[in-house]
Amino acid sequence: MSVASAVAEQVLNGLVVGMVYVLLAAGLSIIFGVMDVINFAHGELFALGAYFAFAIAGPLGGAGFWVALVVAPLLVGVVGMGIERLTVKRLYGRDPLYHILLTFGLVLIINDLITSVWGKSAQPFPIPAVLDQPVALFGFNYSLYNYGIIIFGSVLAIATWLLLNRTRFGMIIRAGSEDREMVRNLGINIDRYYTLTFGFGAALAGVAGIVLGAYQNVSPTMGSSVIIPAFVIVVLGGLGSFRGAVVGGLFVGLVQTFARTYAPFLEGLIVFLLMIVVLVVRPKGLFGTNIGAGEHHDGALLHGAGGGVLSSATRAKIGYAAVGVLVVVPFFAELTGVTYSVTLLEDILIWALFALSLDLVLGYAGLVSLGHTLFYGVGAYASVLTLLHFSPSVFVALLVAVVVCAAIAWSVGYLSIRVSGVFFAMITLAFAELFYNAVFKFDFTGGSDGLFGVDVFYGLAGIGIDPREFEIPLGIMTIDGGIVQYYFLLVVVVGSYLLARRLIRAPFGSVLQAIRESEERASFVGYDVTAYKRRAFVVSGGLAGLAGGLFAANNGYVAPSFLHWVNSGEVIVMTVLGGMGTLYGPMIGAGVFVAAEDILSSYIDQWQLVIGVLFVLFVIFVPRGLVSLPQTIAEQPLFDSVVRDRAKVNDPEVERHD
Amino acid sequence: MSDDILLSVRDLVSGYGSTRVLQGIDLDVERGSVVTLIGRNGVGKTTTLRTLLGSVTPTSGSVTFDGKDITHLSPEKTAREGIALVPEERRVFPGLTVRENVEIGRIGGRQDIDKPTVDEIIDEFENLVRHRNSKGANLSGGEQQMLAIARALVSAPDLLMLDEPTEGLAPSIVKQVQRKIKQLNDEGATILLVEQNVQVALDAADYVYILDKGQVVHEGPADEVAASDEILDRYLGVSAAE
Repeated sequence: MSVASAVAEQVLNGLVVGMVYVLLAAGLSIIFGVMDVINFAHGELFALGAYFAFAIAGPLGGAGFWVALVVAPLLVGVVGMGIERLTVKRLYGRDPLYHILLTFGLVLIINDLITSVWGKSAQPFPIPAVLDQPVALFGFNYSLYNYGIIIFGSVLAIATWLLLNRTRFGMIIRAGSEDREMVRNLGINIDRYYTLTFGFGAALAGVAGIVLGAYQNVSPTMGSSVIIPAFVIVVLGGLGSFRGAVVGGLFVGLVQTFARTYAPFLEGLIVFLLMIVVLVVRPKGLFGTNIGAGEHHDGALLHGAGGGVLSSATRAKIGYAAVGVLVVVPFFAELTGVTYSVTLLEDILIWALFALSLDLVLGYAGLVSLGHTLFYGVGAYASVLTLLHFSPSVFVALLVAVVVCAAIAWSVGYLSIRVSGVFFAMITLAFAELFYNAVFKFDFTGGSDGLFGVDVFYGLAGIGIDPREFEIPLGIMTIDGGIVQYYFLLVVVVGSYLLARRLIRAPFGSVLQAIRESEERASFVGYDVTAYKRRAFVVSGGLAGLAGGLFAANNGYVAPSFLHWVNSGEVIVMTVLGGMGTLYGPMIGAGVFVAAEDILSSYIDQWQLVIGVLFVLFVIFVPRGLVSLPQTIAEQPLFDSVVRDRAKVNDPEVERHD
Repeated sequence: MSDDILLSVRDLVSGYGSTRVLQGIDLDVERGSVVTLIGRNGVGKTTTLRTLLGSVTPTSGSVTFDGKDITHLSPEKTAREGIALVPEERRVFPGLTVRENVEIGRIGGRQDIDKPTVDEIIDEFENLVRHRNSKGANLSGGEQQMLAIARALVSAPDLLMLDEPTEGLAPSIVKQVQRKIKQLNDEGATILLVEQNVQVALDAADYVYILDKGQVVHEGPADEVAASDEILDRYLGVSAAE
C-alpha cells in the first residue's frame, strides 16, 4: 500500500469516528444551547441506543439491523423526553451546576440498568451482511459499512441543520436559546419544545450509539468512554454551536485517528491539549458566539448556610462530640474486633477533606471545578513519588503533595478563572483528563499499574514512629501502627477544617462569599474578583492534594483511577449532598456517601442504581443539602419546602439577570 | 359602558420575593384608547406591566381582560388571550433574522383569529423593509425598536403594551416611534404605554395614570394633566414648560 492510500485510509477511519462524534456532540450542543443543560448522561443515552438496537436486531435476524436503526433511536428519544419531563424540567432556572449533578446521578442509574439487563461484558453486534463487504476505491479495500457511516452521518447532520434553520421548530428553539422568557411572553409554550429538543438530542445520541456499537461492539462502558471527548468537541466548537459540533467532531475524530497511528504517545493527550489551547486563546470556542452561551449565569447556587436550626454553640458542641467519638472508635474497634470500621472511617475522613477542599471553591467562590480529582490524584502521585525516591517521611511527602497541587492550581487558575462559569468547569475537566491520560504514558508514574509498595515513616530525619514496628501492649489490646496512622489522619483532617474555618471567617472569606452572591457587585466595590477566586482555588487545590497524599500514604499505592473523572463527580455529589457553602456540610455528605456506598455495595448488586436515584431526588428536592434538613423538618412539611425552594428560584429578580 | 373597558385592574399587589412593589393598583383601559403610566424611576411601572402579563405573580387583586379573569395566567397564556408586550430594552432575538423575529411573533398571540402575514407587517415599517434578512443583532437601536413593535403587532393583539419604547433612542427616532403609536391608535389599536419621557407620554396619551411608590397617586385625561403644572411638579418633578 502506498503512503498516499495509507493516509487516505486513516482519513476515512478518522471520518468514521468523527461522524459518530458529530452525532453525539450535536445532540449535546443543542441541548446545552437551548436549555443550558450540561447533559452528563448523554453518553449513557448513546450506550442505551446501542443496547436497544442490539436487543431489537438480535431476534429479528437479517433485516433486524434496519428496524433497529429506526426504532432504537425513537425509544431513546422517548427515554430522553421522559428524563426531561420528570427530572431536568424541575431544575430550569437554577444554576447549570444542578443539571451537571442531576445528570451525573442519571449516569449511575442508566449505567446500572444497562449492566443489570445486558451484563457487564462487551458483546458483539454484527453489522448487516449487505454492508459487511469490502469496497475497492482509491486503490485499497475498505469496508462498505464504514463508507455507509460516513454517508449516513453526513445526511443526518445536514437534516439536523435543516431542522434547526429551516423549520418552525428550529426557529422557536433558536429563539428560546437566546431569550426564553421573551418566547414565553409572545405566547409560545417553550416547555413543550424543550421536551422535544431533549428527546431529539437523545435520539441523535442513540443513533451514534448504534453506529459505533456495530462498528466495534456494545459494552456498558461505551457511554463513559465517549462522553468526555464529546464535551471536548462541544467546547472546542463553541457551546451551543451546531457548526462547531460538526467541525469539532470531525476534527477530533481525525486527530485521534492520526495520533493513534503516527504519534501513539500523544493519543489521548492531544485532544485535551487542543481544547486547553483553544479555550485559552478563544474561550468561546471556534464557532461560539457571545449570544446566549455562557453569558447568562442565571439562577443562584442554593447553599446550605444558615439552614441549620441549631445555634453555632450547639453545633460546636456536636462537632467536639463527633471528634471525641472519632478519637475513641479505634479502642472500641480493637475491643470488639471490628477493625474494619477504622478502615472505613479513614476513607470517610479522607473524602471529607477532599469534599471540604472542593467546597472552598464551589460553595464559597461559586466556581464549579469539574476536575477536582486532578489535585487529589496529583497529590497522591506526588506523595508516593516522594516516598519512593526522596524521603520516607510522610510529613515531607504530604508537604510536597500540597505544594505541587497548589502550584498546579495556580497555573490552571491563571489560565481558566478569567473565563467564567461553564467554561471554567470544562477547562478543569480537561486538565484532569489530560493528567489522567498522561499518567498512563510515563514510566515514572508506573503506567496503567500505578505505583505501589510504599512504606511511610511518621517522623523526620530518623526521629519518629515507623508504623510497621510500632506496638504498645495495653492491657487486653495493642496499639499498633494502624492506630498511629488513624490518629495522624484525624489530626490532619481536623486541622484542615480549622484552617478552612479560619480562612472563611477572615475578611478573605467574606469577600469570597460576596463574589459568590454577585461577582459584578463585588468587583464594583473594588475587589479584584479574579485574584480572590484564584487564591481560593490554590488553597482548595492544596487541600485536595493533601487528601490524595494521605490516601496514597495510608494505603501504600497510587493508580491512574485516582485521576478518573468519576471521582470528581463523586466529590461534587458529596459536597452538595451535605450542603455546600458550609464547611461541615460537605464533610457530613462525604461520611454519608462513603458509608452508604460501602454498606449498599456489600448487600445489593444494584447499589449504583440506588445511590443514583437517591441523589437525583436530593438534587431536585433538597438542593441545600443534608444540613438544611433539620430546618426543613422543623419549620414545615417537606412538600412546603419544595414549593418554597422553587418559588425562590423562580424569583423574577433572579431571572432578570438572564 | 363596561363594554368599552378592555382591561380592568383592581387593587393589584405584587412584588419580587418579599419586596412588595405594587401596593394596590387600580386602572382601566378603554377600547381604542392610549393609556399611559408615568412616574419616577422605581415606582412600579414596569412591574405593573410584568404583573399584567403574568411574569410577576400577583399576591392579591384582580386583572380582568375582555370580561375574563386573567389575574393568575402565565405569560404564555396571557399572550394567547391577546395581550402583546413590547418589552423594555426591546429584546429582539439577536440571532434570528428580521423575518424570523416577526414570524415567531405571529406563532404566538391569539390562536383563533386571522393574522396579517409577516411581509404585510414588515412593509408597514419603512426602516425594516430593507433589512428583511438581516440578523436582529445587526440592526440599529431604532430599527430594533420598530422590530419589537412589529413582532408584537403581527399577532394582531387586542391590547398592545409598550414598555419605554423611546428609551435610549435619538430624538429623530423618538419622533418615528411617536408617529407609529399615533398611527396605530388611529387605526383603532388599544395601547397601554409606560414612558419615562413625560412629553412623549402626554402627547401620545388619552388618559394618564401617575404612579408613586406602587400606587396610583393621580389619574385624569392627558390634556388635563399636561395643563397642570402643579400635578407635574408634585409627582414628577417636571413642569410642562420644560
